[in-house]
Amino acid sequence: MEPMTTYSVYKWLRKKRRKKKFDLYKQTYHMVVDPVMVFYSGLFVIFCLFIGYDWLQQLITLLDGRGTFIAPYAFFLPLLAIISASVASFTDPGLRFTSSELQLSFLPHSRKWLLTYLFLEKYIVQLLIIMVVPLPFALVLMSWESAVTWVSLLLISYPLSLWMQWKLFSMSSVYKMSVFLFSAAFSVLFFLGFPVLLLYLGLSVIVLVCFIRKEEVDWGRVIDINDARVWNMWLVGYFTEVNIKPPKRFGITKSIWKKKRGRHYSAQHLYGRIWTGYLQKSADVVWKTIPTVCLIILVIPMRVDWMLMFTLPIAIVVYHEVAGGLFSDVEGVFHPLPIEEESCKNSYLKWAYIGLLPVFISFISIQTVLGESLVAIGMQLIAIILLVYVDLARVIDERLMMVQKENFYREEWRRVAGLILLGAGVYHPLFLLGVPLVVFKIGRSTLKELIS
Amino acid sequence: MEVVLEVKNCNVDIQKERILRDISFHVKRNEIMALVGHNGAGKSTLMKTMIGSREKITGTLSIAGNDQDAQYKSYKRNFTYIPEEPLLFNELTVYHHFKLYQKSYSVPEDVFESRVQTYTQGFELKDKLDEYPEALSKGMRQKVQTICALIPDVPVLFIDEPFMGLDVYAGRFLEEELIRKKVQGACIVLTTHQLEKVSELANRYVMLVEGEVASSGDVSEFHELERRST
Repeated sequence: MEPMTTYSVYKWLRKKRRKKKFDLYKQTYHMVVDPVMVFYSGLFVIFCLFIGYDWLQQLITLLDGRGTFIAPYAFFLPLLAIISASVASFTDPGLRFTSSELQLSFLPHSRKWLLTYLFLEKYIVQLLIIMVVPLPFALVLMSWESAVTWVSLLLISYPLSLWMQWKLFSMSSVYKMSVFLFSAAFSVLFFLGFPVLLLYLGLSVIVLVCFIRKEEVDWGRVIDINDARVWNMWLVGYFTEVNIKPPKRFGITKSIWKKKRGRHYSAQHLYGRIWTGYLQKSADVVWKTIPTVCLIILVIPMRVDWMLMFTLPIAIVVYHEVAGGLFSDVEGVFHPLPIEEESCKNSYLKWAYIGLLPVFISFISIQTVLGESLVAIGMQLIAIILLVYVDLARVIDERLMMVQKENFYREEWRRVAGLILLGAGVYHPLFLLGVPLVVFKIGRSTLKELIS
Repeated sequence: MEVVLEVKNCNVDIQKERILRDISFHVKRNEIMALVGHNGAGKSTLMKTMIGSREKITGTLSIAGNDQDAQYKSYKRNFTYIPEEPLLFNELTVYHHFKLYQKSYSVPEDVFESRVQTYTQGFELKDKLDEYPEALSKGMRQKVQTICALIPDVPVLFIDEPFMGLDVYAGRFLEEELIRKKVQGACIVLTTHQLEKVSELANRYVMLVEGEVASSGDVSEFHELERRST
């Protein structure tokens, strides 16, 4: 029997991958999509296409020949390709060589050929995209000579960028940064009117250096990242709330941060490191919460100014509850380790307080826009900081006691009173005088008052 | 001998299905107890329940008189755990892990330093102290996890498949260390599929079959697992 060629195996593998992904999408579709909704959405899309066609016809006559001024910038594309490759190479190898391709390479199939197929496949797809989108636009916007120049340089720049990204990915950060800085410098010279040929010569030197340098590919890193990228399907992840992420050790900051390998750390420092990692893992929640809370403070009062009395306490409660919720996973974070409570809480609170900075900035901004006096803003800010400082610590304290299966007494009404006074303080700063009274009382009551 | 770990009438459900039924046993000081059973018998679930990472429906668990529900914090301070798959923190180096366990269990500095010295030598990890977990092989990560659990002096040591992933020398070193811990007064609960280890190391055994204690007693009474489908 004839052995299968590398190409046929590669094709077969890709086909199976597409099928599995399609099945996953199908399952998600059956899980979340209502056929009636799809029918009406389909009608809506067809309707939009007709509108779009009409709009495009008007736009074409309007744009015809108006893009001539961007024609000379086509020569900037190779420089842009190298810049984007150097930036992307910090986190992404570009070519989707996954663990399946690696397994194939352990069979009698060449890894080099597999990479070549991946490269060609990506290039052909890009080629088709260029033909469908930028080429027609270029033909409408500029003369056909300029359009051909743009598209030709695009066709050269894309594989160059892809190849550079792949090469740079396994190189040290210093190399990546150097390539970025050089290509950025060339870009500046381009806009200063430096001869393009000389700049391309410089660029060729960079490419040549990368070509000559025989860096071993960091296969482990390539595979971890690619597996996550290939199988993290946005739509499926969105509906199932399961997102596949590459191990976080591959971020830009991670590799720099990890170089600090001191040995003499306090418990709080060690806890701090663990919480930092945990918050990075929970980045989705963090990055949704902080802007949401800022928007609560900013958007509604922008239209109805007195609403700030309500939105400020709501924003604080939302932030505290999310921070408390994230902290509740403490058992999952530290596994069966007994927790050194103070270090654990303090190291988490440090980050929780830092996360509030954008909220404070949002509050100051909206009050400035609404024309509040500086004295009043100052007083309100002090009251907010005071309340947040004590209340957040109390929330975290309570969550830890819940996790540790301890009994405690919750004085919710004092918390509510503090928030009402804070809101009222937005109406008139005099109300803020009540905040310290309530807050300091809360402070005393957080001493674990056991019911039993 | 004083009873250190006591498990009484524990029932555990996973997704409304009863996985452990009315589990009761105890382990005394200076004793190694082996939890044996086929795959899916409930050994790991029981282990997770004992370390508190899985909730039980009914029953009580206590270590040195500290009830898991009523005195959870003290309960947790009284055991260490070596999981089958190492649970290491990506943010910490090998040495940081040891330090974290030292701080968490309040191990005196001099004791800590001497133990780190002994264990890193015994497990051949001396040159890996400043490495992060991802730079270590699976076996090495298992060694780090094992050292972490051996550093504190606690009444109970839970071990899920202790010799999995360890090389011959590390396995032998761990065996010696477990016996030393036992002689010093600790009690050890381990799960293993290596039945010869059960007779070599353990004093008593508890056999689980489909989530129930099928038999228990002195290890000399233990012969072998019967085939599940006969």
